[in-house]
Amino acid sequence: MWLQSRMEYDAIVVGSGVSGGWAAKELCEKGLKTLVLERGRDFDPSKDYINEHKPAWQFPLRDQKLTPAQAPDHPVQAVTPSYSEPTTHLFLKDRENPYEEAKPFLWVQGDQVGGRSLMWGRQSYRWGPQDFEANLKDGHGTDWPVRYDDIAPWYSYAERFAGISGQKEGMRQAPDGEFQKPMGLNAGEKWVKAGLEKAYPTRRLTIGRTAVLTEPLGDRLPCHYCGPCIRGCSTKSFFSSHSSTLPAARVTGNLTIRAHSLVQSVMYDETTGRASGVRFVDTVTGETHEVRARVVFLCASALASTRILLNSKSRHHPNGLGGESGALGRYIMDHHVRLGARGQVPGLTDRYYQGDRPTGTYLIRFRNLPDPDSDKLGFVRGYAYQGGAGRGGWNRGGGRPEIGAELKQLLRDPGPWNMGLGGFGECLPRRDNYVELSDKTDPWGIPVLRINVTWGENELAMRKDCVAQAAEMLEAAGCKNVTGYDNIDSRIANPGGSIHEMGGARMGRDRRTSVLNAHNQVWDAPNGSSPTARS
Amino acid sequence: MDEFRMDRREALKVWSLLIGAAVLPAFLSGCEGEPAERPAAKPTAPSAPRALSAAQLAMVATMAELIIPETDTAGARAARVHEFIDTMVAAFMPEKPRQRFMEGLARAEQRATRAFGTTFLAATPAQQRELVEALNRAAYTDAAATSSDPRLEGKTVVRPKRPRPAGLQEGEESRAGGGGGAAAQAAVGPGGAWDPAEVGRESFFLTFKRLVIEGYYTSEVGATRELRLNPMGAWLADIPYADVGRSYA
Repeated sequence: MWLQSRMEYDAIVVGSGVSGGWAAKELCEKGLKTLVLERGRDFDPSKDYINEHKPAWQFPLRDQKLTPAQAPDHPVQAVTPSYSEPTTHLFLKDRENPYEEAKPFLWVQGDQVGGRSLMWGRQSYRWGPQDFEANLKDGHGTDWPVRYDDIAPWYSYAERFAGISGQKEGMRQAPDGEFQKPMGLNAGEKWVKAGLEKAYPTRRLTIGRTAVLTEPLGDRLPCHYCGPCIRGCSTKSFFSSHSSTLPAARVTGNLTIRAHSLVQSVMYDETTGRASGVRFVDTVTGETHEVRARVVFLCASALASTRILLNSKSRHHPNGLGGESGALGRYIMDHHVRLGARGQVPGLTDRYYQGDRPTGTYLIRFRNLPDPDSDKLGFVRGYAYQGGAGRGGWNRGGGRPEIGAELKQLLRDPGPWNMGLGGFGECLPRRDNYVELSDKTDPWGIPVLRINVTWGENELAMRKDCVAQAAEMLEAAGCKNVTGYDNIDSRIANPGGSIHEMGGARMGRDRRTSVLNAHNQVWDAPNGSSPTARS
Repeated sequence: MDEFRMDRREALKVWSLLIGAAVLPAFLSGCEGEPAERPAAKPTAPSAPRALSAAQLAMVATMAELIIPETDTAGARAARVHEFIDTMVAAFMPEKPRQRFMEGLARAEQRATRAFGTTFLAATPAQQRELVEALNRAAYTDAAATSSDPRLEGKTVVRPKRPRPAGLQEGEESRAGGGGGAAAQAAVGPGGAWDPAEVGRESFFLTFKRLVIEGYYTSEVGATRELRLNPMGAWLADIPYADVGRSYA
């Protein structure tokens, strides 16, 4: 029933997003004939950036944010802020990727070659030594077999190729990278930074470190500051598989990309004890294929890669490939978000900016590094804030009682400066946050995931502090009308909502308690790698 | 309703910064806008009304022009804001907000009939202005205070306590008293007592006003002649406002 592909490859990469693009580049450059399988459609940047630089008035709804009520194909995808009139074509149709929400969970996915690398937020940070050591120190999760010093050279390698702009700050917990020159802070942000760092000398507000060029890199041009990266970037200024890794893979002559190819499982060869290839469905013809290779990389996103492993059942692996430890599918995490504070920056009405900068500010983690207050805090690990300042625009008009020429005159000038700090909290790896195979299947007969993930006590305790600190810092900086907020009850605050889902196939030192070894290889099939699903 | 009302540009900007999601507001490429003198010369995609009748469309256009009038630049009518509103009502609003919108429009028309003995469109410009300004004041008053008015046979009447920007939302300024005046203190507007649906942040008129503002400032003339498109090419992080002189669209 499975068609045998006549082609044999040295390597198969499942997925063409950020990690799949990188895997393809590295494998192709090392001379391996590489097949990239992508479940979404073909995507040609020379003609598929259909809405780049298109003004609002050329959209019937003026490039409106759409909600689930207006998106019958995308009741889940439409929850995310980046789902709007100009971007709907980038998102996977929910009925083609059904999943069960045992607990509320948002699973946002791309639907094209390039995957979510075309849609991502581009913020790019190194983890610090404390992040690599946390599992060992506080006992949550399993000790990773790698440390910051092992990974630092790879960070440098990736940053130099991808192009990350940012400001060196010398903060150990957020190590500096190989940065291109930073984009500048605007007047409001500089004002908040000055006041905040005076009140809290150990804290640091910096420009967001972003995978957008400020200097040329190969055939890629510096950012032209048009604003909405997600609509496409013909100058290849922001890092995506299309602007960076896939072209590098393609020039080797070793790359084959096959779109509309939904991988069902990894094949396992009992005699060699290794992965022998993958089975996939052509979602256009409905035909199923088997294709063989010496190496298989699962780069389909944390959850989709985990789903493939769970579906890779064999006599030797009745619980899926990597299922022996009992850890497969478990320890799912996401950043918990939708909390922080906002305030008004007084004055500076004679200052403005020009261009639409594709990053904001970043307030570096300060909790539990360790912290003199650690015992009182009531949570382990920490959080950081993304944010930024800007001047109010015409949309403040709805809050103004003026009308007629008076209103029009008022909105000619920008409004006051507003500053926001939005928290990104670390999530603990917990065994009872898991995915499993449902008895339901997708339109191609492949069992779907049943997702069972909730925020835990540590996350909830962290949120209180994160909101309080954001408000306190804005107050201390001198902002007016400061309000803290925690929108934990909103749909977008469900796990998955920050689209940073992680876990499902954790790495460890012991094959009895982890799925992957220090090289992201499945213990039970060392030529099968799942770089997207470790936790 | 909240979702529908969200001021998307600021919301998207804040969200995208806060969550690292990939959308930033559309600061758009330079395109030649309409000269103010002949603003209606090149309407974008004029289309037959889909939610509104021809008469309703004309009423919406007249009300919109009173909110954003022609000055030294084109107003809402020339920017064809009424067509945008028609599209939004027909293609964007969920069922309940659409129903509330249509009811609100009908109520405004009934009020014109009661107050002026004629349709809104047939009323004099002064009467039209009077009604729209009264609806605006009611929308910025506090809906909390209600009392019954003997003249109105025991109907519930909303008696605005004081003008305040009831529809204030994220990033919007507060300026109490801005739309004040004796009329706002009255329980009765032109054509009779205020209905609760005409007062405060849930009022039809506030929804309508936001649509007018959105439609105007995202139109070509609104974005390029009245305001300025944020130009592409460079990020100038901190410059004198005088160098720009207008808010970005």
